[in-house]
Amino acid sequence: MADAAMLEGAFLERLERLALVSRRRVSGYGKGDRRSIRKGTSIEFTDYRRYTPGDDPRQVDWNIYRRSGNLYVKQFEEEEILTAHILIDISRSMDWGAPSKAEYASRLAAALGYIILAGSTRLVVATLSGSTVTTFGPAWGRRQLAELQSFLRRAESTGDTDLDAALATYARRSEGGLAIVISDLMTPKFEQGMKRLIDRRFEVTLLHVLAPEEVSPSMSGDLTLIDTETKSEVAITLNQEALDRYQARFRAWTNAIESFAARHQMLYQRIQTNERLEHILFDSLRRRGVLR
Amino acid sequence: MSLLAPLMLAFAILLPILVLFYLLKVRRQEYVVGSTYLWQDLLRDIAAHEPWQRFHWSVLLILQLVLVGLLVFALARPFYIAQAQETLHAVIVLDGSASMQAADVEPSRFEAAKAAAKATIRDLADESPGTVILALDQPQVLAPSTTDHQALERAIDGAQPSHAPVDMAQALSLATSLGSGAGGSGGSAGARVRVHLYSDGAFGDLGTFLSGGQGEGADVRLVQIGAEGDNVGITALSARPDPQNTTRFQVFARVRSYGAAPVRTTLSIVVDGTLAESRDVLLDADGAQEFIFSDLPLGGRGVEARLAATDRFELDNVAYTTLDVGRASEILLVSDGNLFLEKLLSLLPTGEVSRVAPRRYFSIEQERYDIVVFDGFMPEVWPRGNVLIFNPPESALLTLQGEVRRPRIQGWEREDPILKFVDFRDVAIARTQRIDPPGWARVLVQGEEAPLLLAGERDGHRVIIVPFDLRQSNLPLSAAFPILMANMLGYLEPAGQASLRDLRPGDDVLLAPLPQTEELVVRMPGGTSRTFQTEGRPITFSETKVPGLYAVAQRAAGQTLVEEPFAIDASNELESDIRPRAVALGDGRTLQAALPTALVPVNREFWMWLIIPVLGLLTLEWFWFHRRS
Repeated sequence: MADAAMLEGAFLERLERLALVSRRRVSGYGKGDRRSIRKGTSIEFTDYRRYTPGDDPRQVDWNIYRRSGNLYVKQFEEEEILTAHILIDISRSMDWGAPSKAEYASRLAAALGYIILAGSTRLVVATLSGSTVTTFGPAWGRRQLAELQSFLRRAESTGDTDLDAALATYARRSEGGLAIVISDLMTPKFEQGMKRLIDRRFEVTLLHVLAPEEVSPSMSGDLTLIDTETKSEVAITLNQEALDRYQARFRAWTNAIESFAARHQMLYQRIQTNERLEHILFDSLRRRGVLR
Repeated sequence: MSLLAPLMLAFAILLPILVLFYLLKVRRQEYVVGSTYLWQDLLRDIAAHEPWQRFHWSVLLILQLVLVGLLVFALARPFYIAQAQETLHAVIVLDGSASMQAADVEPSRFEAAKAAAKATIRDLADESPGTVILALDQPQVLAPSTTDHQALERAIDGAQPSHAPVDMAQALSLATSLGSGAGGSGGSAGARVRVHLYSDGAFGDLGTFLSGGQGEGADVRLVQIGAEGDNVGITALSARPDPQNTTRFQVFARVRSYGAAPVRTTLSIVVDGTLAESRDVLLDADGAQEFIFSDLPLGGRGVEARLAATDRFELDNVAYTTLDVGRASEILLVSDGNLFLEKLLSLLPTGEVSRVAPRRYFSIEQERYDIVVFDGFMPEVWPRGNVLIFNPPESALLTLQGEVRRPRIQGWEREDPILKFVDFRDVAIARTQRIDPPGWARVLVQGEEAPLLLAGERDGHRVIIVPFDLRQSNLPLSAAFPILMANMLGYLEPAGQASLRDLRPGDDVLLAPLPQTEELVVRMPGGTSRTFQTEGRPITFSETKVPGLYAVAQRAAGQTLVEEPFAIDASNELESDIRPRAVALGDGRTLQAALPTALVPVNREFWMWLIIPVLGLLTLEWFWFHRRS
């Protein structure tokens, strides 16, 4: 996806001031994956359970063993390692506009990815195309940025995305965390996939990327509109009446998405590709509570 | 209702073609969008790959079908048959003669004629062109051919009668010739011409103009104006020197009655505003009486004769003339003594002659002389008056090329007024100066090697040159000499002197200034006056429509040098006879009176009325189209 994912050094420095916000604790595996940072802090004892082979011998409570002769391991409620998932829709419909929505999404993903990498959170980036999912990560640490960028560069828009299927696939093989879905949602089928994510205890943020021409079309006359994704054609006479109807349709559509997001406690942010990335990151998303 | 061009209905093929256009799918521009997802609901037409679409009525289509239908119908030139005036080129000829001012019909014959003419215009078929001609001494076209009937009526409203007789034959000649021409702006080329003549018939004779002449076969209808013609008028007034006493004048007046009953009235002569004499006039039915008034006040100039009669024609109850005292021309002879000239000049009645020797020429006030005769002398500058030169010496004004001995006369201009009745056959000349003819001069007598008589007008002043010495020829002894001299002096006499006699309304008056005059002031009968800067040239005065006594004052340096009256007199036997009468055609027939124009069935086309709904529909269609987009 071109060089869009490239970020400048100065910009990166500024991004380090931002951090991802998690609204609730999300249980996850992989404790100790980030021991170098979190060691010794915020560990609260919660329970015991019998030792089974494979448990870390260091967690065995030797006092109980001395009293009872049974091996118990201490269980802690962990300040668990947060995994942030960035799911990018790279369907053909995203590859449209100047800059293309895919390009914009890619830069947005890179920036968010850097914030996540720099913020001691585990990062998984996935591109959704068709019903297939290509992932990057899990990764952490700033040094992974170059890898991430090359991953994003490699991503190719292919075919039409069945967002429902792709999200469901992803939800099935992941274990919750923070999911940032970047898509233009130009499909009737995304709600089931989103629900799958919610069901898997994902905390979902929906970044709805649209080209300005999609918000208020500027063309007019007798046109055959060709869908980049499906190649289907729509013959239409674009007069004021048609534009008015489009606007109404567009409002109804975005309202439906927003209320769907609200119903399922998702964060929703609509983004136009003519908006400056910095503005999105430092203003819109902070205000929305995605970043801080 | 029927159609003039039913073949044009073939254009109705446009109607199905128009529908076809609606069935054809619009050729659309392709436009790639990220997704058509949001556009799906707006889909209005069927799938793009089908060349035809389902037919459905639209307001635009209906408007366009009606529009094309109307246009095709209009192209077929529909018409209905109506009873209407025949389409004719109506040429209105208004008689502007003085008799048309008679008030036997209210308010006057001319006004009645105008009203009748306007009624004719209003009766014309809409597409009939019309022309308005006012017959005067020269016919005036008041409105050239046009189908704008209001313009014709305005032209009629603006017409004014004259105080003079008219040349009706010329007016009718103009009127009847209009049809044969290319027509006018009204597109009347094809329309038949009918001349409507509004006249009392009192315009004299048409001759054979309409019977065998140029106007043979022309459709001329007379609309007779005027009710009755009883009238008493002064039909002639003139003044002449008293044969018994040349210092006094006689005024001759003729009064005539045109009526069936005897008339008694009074004729008064007013000289310079003062009543000089009144006489009873007793006229038989259709009788005339002549009067000579001899006992007129001395020095009187302007004469007004007035009849006490009050009749329906006021114009001829008064007449004007002047007692032509005249002003004798002042002639200056610059000569060392020439018996022939002195004798002849003193005999001719032209004017007062003064003689001066050439050496004294510059010491006299030569500006006051009307004619200067140079005999063997030339000054270095031209004098102000007209000049007659005999035997000129070399000077700055004339170029001489030596002498010619015994020049033979080759020919002379017999038609020229100066040589009228003059025969040069027996004239012999011993020698003459050879003059290089100046640009302004024409040669009247051509000798073998030199011109022998030249005349011309230089800067508004007339000059005659006789290049030989009279004493060196036998000319003074010939019978032609007095005639030649009289002709030459007549040519050199200031024009004004002769031109202020026998003037009729509308005549141009040539006012010749005296050499020293700076401005001419003409006082007109109404009391108004006109001032002209002369710059030494004669003035043509044309504002002479109104009969009456005029006066022209010659002024210089604020002083009136001389004031002369002149009279514009309208008295005329013909015009005083205001009895309405038929117009004789010279072959025993008379001009046919106008008949009401018969109604004929005409094809009234109404395609132009279809244009209004077409324009309305176009507007509606435009509005509808833009409302959609």
